Amino acid sequence: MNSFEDGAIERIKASEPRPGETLEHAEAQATLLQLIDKLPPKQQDVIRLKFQNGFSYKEIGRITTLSVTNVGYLIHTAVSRLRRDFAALPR
Amino acid sequence: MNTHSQPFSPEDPRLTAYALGELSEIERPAVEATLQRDPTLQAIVKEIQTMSGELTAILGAETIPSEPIGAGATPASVLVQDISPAAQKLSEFDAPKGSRLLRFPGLYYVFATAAAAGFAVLVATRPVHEQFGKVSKSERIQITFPNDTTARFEIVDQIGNVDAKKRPGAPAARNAAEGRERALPGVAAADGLAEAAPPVRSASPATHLLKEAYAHASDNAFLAAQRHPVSTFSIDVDTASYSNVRRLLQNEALPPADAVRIEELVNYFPYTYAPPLKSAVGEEGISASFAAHLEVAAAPWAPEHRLVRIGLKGREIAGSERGPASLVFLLDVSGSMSAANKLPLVKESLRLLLGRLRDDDRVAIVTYAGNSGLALPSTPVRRREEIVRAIESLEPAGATNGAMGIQLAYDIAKANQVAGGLTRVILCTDGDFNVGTTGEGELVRLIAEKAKGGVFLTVLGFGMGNLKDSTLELLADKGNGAYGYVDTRREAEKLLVEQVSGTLVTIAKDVKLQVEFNPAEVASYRLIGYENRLLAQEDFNNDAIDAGEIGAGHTVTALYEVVPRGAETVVTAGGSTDALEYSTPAEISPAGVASKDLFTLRVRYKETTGDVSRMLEFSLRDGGARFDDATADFRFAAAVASFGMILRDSPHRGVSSFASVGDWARKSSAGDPSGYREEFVGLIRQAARLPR
Repeated sequence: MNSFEDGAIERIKASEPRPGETLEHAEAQATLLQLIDKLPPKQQDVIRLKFQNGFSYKEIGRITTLSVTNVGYLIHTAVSRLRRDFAALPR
Repeated sequence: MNTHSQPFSPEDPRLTAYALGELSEIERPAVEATLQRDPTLQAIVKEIQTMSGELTAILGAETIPSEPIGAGATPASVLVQDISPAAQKLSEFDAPKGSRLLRFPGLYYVFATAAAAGFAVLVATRPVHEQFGKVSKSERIQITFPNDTTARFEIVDQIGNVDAKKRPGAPAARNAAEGRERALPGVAAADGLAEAAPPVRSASPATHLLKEAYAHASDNAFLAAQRHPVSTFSIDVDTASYSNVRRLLQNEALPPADAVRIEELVNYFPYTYAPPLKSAVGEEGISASFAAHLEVAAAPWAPEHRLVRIGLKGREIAGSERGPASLVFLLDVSGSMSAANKLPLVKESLRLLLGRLRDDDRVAIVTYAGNSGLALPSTPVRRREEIVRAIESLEPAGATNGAMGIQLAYDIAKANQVAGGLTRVILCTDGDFNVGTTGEGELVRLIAEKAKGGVFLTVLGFGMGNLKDSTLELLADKGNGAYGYVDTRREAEKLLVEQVSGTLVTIAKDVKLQVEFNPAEVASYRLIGYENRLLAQEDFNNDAIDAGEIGAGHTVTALYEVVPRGAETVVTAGGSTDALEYSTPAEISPAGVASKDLFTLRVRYKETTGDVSRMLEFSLRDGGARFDDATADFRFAAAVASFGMILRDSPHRGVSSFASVGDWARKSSAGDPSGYREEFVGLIRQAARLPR
């Protein structure tokens, strides 16, 4: 299990895919995408800006004209929801 | 604020901010302290980081849709929906699922509600540079102003040329204000640009220059070599001054002295300096980025003086050799751009450039006027038709808001930066740069910072009467790019077709020249041009000091007028100073006396991606050549410099006249495939005809 540095983001990669794990992973990804699509519009926007385009909170604030605090709140809420919904899915 | 035992619920957004590395220096310690004590919260932070990793991986892997936006394609990796009028009908605001209008969410909601009501309501507010919608000629959109007619009158005035309000005596400008559809007198129809567009003539040649702004610089004076042996300056490859001077002369106006930058006149022309050898490997085994060519002969305007020509030639790059390009066009589409030699010429320029890009290059278009908008998200050139459609649909409207547009353009550029490729913002404007409350300083700082991140800037000026030459040159300077002025389709071809590699690909940055003259041979010297590029001697070795960039295949030429020892007069000796109290004046060393060198030249430059400079060194001995013995390139450059000195009414122009300049230029114009030298000879004739 990788240890995380403070504040660092790391991609999760399975070291050796078990048979069938690739398919599971792909399905999980597709599910996660669907969950993202269900988020309210503003949350979707900031999630994509953050994780797809790599903008910082401050830059997102400027692009969307929201305050940085608001951006932080939206991202937090969205990530929390995604975590909960993803974990709650039947496997 | 109490930093200890702050109740910290798992719902606190600071947890996510911490997990993503977004907490400020001030907030971090408190959060870290709390986390250390609470394993539950630690677990949550880990989960957030896991999810963040998943999101980055999933969203990063999303493929770009192949259908155009608005046709039901997944919007996943598209940042903003195309908001150009041609792509949009009001009904599309019942948006396909998931598509978003991200920019200016306020406007989105306005349009959404308005669409339901069946018409668009453009909200006009007192400060007219806010919230303008784009009104397309081809759509009939009913406009309702909630305000009274006074506000409306302001807006009509603003859509046209800004000049209209200020200069009632300029008939051409007023026509533009009154109707965008009505072309300026004497100009080809605004919706089509004839191959050879006749120059726009204004009623009174001098008044149309009133709004143009040029930075002032007085000619460099002669400096005594013994007191000031070292001359340091930054190179410049801008060519704007030449095309601007050409535009003015063709409009029967003598250019103001400050519009004439001699180094830009000289650098406009291609010279046949040999490029660096691929086999020539310098220090650290790196092949040369450029080659230097030195020549010295008599100065034609002062035969007892010597003229030194320093030439640098950047290495050439074949179209296929460069990395993929990610370009963002930042276009001024404000009302003042409606003249035929502005937005239509901008569109023509973009089409020309598009023809020279590869399928794996990318283009985005950002406009700034009223609303800054993304007219085209970053699109691979493979999908040419989409890009052409977006270019075609650009319409002038609204007042300028440069600051917002620049932010957006750089954000898009950063989002689409390609590793191993080149990223560039290309600004096209008539210079009417309303930077609002931000101010020029702020803007310049932003651009300089972005340049450090590898997003370079090219500035292309268009049109006349409003050209903020000084601002545009400054922006290009700080943005690590070049400034060109496009007055005709031909010029657009020169910059964006013939010299496309030079325009797009920077091969060396922060290039500085330092010349140390030998006082045993040189009494005094004068750098011709480069007045606003001078550096202190210490700046040469200081890598933090910004300097000019060289593009692939570019040539850079610098000229010094040198007074040999013994030939100085009171005027050319470089002035006098009082005797020093506490030290003795600099002595010429025996090495200087023994050497017959005129000077040693040092060149410092950095590779495009690097912050440590390299240095090259050359020296030159004077062989006593006469002017007529010099190469054609040398004699032509001298003619161009002379021409500039006459236009500037320089005290150093010696015995030159338009007649003699024409003579020198004609004799050195053989083998001029692109016709630039011939055109120059024509300009000399034109200038000679104008009353002074």
